Amino acid sequence: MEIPDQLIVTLLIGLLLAVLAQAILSYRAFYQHKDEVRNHVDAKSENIVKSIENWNIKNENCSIRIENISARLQSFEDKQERANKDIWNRADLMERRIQDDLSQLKKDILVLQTTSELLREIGLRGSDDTYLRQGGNR
Amino acid sequence: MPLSPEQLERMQYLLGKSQHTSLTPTEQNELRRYVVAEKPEAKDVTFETVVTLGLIIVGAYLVYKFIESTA
Repeated sequence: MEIPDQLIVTLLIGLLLAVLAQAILSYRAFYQHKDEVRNHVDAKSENIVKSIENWNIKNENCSIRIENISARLQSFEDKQERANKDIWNRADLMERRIQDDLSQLKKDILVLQTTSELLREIGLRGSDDTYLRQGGNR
Repeated sequence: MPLSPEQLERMQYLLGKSQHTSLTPTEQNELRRYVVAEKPEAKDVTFETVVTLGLIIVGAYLVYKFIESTA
């Protein structure tokens, strides 16, 4: 039995069309998948960019807070230093005043000691004279 | 001065006596009474301190008498 040429040509054309259709479908599926992957990657990238932006904002806020804390700390240290100096100045002043008072007190005590010694000596002699004058025995 | 001249004279006698012999307890109390009359803070001090204060009081009295006599 002889296959007619027309049938062979028809089959070949059909086969060719089938291969072509398959190639087109494969090509289409490839690009569709490529787009899906691209969209997925874009979405992920966008999320990452947003996360980085949020992180940057948080980082900036943290930097501002750290700067504020640093400024407050510096201010506190300055105040502490001033208070420290003030306390030492007052302590020095009080020490000088106490030393002056002590010096004056020493002078006063010396004067009092000398005066009381003199009065005691006068009293001693006067009492002795009185005792002997009134008939007392040595 | 709270003490009279007679009391100061008696005080001098007692103080003079204490330099040569020991005073009787009555005399010690008398001397302490004179000193406390002049300085109430001396109420609870030792008898030695009473004698020292008494001598100073008598010394001041004698100086006062001397200045008064020369004035």
